[in-house]
Amino acid sequence: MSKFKNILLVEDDAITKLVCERIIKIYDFSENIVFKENGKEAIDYIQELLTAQQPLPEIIFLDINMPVMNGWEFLKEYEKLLTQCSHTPQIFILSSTANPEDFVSANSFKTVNSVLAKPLTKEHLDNIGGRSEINNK
Amino acid sequence: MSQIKFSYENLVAAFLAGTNDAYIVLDNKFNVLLFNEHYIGFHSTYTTTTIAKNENFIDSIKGTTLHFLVENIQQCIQLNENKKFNYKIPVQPEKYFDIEIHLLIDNNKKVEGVALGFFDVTQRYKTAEEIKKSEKLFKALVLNSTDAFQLTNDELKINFVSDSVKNVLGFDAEELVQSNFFNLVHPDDKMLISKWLHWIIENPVRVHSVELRIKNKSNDWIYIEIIGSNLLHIADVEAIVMNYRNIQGKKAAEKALAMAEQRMGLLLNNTKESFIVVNSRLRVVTYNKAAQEHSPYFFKEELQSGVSLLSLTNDSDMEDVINLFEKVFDGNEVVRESNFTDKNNIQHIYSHSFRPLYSEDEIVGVFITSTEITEKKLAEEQLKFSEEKYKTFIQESEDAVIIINKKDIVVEASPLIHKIFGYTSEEVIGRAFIDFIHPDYKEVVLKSIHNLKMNPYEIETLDLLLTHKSKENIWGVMKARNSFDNKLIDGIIIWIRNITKRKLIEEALQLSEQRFRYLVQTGGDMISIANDKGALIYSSPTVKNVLGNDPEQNIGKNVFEYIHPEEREKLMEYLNDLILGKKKQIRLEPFRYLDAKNEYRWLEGTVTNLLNEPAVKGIVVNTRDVTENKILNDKQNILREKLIRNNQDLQQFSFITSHNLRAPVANLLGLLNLFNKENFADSFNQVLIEKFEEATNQLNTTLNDLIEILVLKSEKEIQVETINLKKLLKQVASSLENELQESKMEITTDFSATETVEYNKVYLESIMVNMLTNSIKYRSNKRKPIVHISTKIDNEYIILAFADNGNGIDLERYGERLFAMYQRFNVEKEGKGLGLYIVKSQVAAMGGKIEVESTIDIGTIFKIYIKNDVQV
Repeated sequence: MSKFKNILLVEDDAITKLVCERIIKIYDFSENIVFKENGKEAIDYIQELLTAQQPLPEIIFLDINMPVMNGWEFLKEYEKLLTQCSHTPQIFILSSTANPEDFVSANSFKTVNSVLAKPLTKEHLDNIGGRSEINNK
Repeated sequence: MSQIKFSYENLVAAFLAGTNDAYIVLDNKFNVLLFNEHYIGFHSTYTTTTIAKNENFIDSIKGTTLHFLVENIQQCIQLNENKKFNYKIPVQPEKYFDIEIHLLIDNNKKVEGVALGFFDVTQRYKTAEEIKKSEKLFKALVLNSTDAFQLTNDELKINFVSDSVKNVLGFDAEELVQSNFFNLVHPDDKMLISKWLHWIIENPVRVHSVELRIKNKSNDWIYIEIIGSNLLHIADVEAIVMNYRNIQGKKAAEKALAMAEQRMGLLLNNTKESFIVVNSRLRVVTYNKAAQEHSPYFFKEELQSGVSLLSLTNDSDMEDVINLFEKVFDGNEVVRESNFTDKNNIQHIYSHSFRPLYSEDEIVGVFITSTEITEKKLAEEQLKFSEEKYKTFIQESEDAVIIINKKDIVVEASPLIHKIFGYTSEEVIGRAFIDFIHPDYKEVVLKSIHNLKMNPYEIETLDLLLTHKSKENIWGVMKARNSFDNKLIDGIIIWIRNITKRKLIEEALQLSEQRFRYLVQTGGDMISIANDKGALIYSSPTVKNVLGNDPEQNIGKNVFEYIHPEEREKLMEYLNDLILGKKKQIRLEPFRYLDAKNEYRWLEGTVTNLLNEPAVKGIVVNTRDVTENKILNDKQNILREKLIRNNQDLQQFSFITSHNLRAPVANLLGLLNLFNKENFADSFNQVLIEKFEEATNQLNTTLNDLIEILVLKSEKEIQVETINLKKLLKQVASSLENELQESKMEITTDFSATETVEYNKVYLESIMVNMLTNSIKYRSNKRKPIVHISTKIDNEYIILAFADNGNGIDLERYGERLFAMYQRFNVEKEGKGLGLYIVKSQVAAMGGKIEVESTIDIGTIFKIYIKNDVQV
């Protein structure tokens, strides 16, 4: 059985998407992967889920540098929607940033679990807690 | 207590208590109003009385050393004028004071009180005296050019030797400088010179001579005589000064006397000055012709060597003569005058000088010179041999001589007058003496001449300013003597010497003592006093220097009217805090104040509440002009901010570049992790290899982009040329022909403001390409795309504007990041997110800036600011 049922990957780079999808499949990390190109698309998707009263993904992998709406803007919008949901996904920022300010920013969002350095690896996935640990942050 | 109006002495007493000078202020009944700490010290040093407020000052000094003040103060009040004079306190500690008596006058010109200042100038007087002495000796030595003249240190290392050394020793001056004079001395005479050196070191300033053998250029030992003096401690000289000459061939016996004779023979040949040398038994050793013919002192008998001086002296004068010689043999120089009436019943006045003659340390004889000082034709010679000059043994004079008659008209003037006044004797004779005196000194000179006429036997000496023919002022010292009783002269003889140089030194010394006056009157600090409403009741004269206002006219004006509105409120608050007693003194940060030219000057300083101080009764504002500093500071702040910004930019740049390099590397690593190494034939490996290629290209592109930006950022010299915008646009449009045609983009222009700019061509081309490409990329499909390019002059900039009618940008959302690196805002359009970043960098490199205005669905205007006067 997969570790998770639904995860969301917000990423605009094709190769990164390919690498993530492949590694998630290989290690049976999640049953389903939903891809969104940027923050705006991701917010729209979550809005839809909330409206349809469907469960949110358990994990969100989030890139920062994206066109239209970047990772930070997504997080601001997302936290506004939070009051409406019963349980919250674990959010991992997936980035190749070297800017210490980005880590500070990441910490300022209470919804962010941690920052993972690209590329996504088996070790990253192993360190992410299972379903029972959701909301234990 | 009387009400005293403001004068600067009050201020000094009230808030310049830090001065080293003693001050006391009295009211018009001589009751003590106030005084400073230094006055207490001064008073207790010279009196046994104590000083206290409200006591009568005159009573407290009566019968004390300071009693002389009483008369001076009363005189000032009587004459209604201030007085400044020098006074030497005649009791221990003997000190010279410059004393100022300053009347405090009220608006009705009534004397309200007196301020007394005592400035200790002892040091100045002593220094001036020393300088005077050494200067003379120095000059005399230098100018006696037949002898070699040299300066050495205390070990006789030669620092300077005159060219005339060649005549004496055969060496060129250059050969001797830096060598030790000691090395030239004959081994047997080294003791002699050591002794001589020891003597002059022990007896600074005094002249001492020695004879010894020295090796000349041709390696012969020759006898020289050295006359020298230790001036090591005299500023500007700081050396042992030596004067020496060849005395080879002279008899060794009775050196001192023989030398004296020889020297005098040289000096006094063909002179009417008489001289006689006597030995320790007062017998005549040698004399000159003039002595035989003219010396009245020895008139009675024919002079001859070996004659005892005492045998030529009247019995009645005997005791006096013996006393005189005793003094001389004690090492003193004595000057005497005598009157003498000759056979033809003509009166003569003679001046005789008696000087000891030294050999080694011992006085072996007396050198007597006699000069007739009656004959006016001899006046110049007399100067050359004036008593002061004898001290150096060397004949040199800079004194000019003038004789004036009863009406103070110049009747005779020596040729040297030209050296001092620039006038020839002829030009001076017949004119009033006073014409050549500086206006400030006319009165004192007249007084002094008047005094001479009343007191025939006095000699008046005073320092004064003279007016040179060139209108320049020169400092002189004048010595005058009443000679009306001499029928040949029938006038006053005046000797004048130029002492400008010395005066300059003195003035430099005085500066330190006048620092408080400097502060109040001529310095850059302004002192103002305002009332509790901010209205000025006093302004120091320095206000004139700084603000250009007349201090008098400031009175009554409110300071807040002159303070810049931005600082006004804060300063009013300060005043309020002072009045409420929250603070006694407040430091004023730089604030702007209107000057006489209606321009703001930056001032800073302190403000002190002295409303309760009876002598002030106001708010004292102490300020100085810091405009220059302020401007400099502001410039530095701007520079600093710029540097900080640059630094932040660089840091940002490094984060972004590392991110952008890591992203493709991360992709490569990710792909590599997925690669099936066990089974190369795995079908997914094929996919991965394609992706490898893609990721590698991504990395390559990123590197190329970064290199492009780095080159742009590191370019130091940017070529600037005059660019015709129309021409360049044409060129750019043709390179974008395909895109323009495909989009049907229309370009309109208005270059009426200016068609040319000074810019780097590559940059401007890149900017145009980027602007046009953006307009094409983000055109609206709802209307025909148009981009309008125009120029406009805006002060120091030319604005090159690109206005399109495209989709527009949500500036509220993207504004901050619009010009940042690797920012893309539209998914549909391809781009690396570098265009605007590069444009911004290029504009910045040219010293300009870029601005953007945009409305969604209406269009976007980019404004490129180009420095009108480009200096890169």
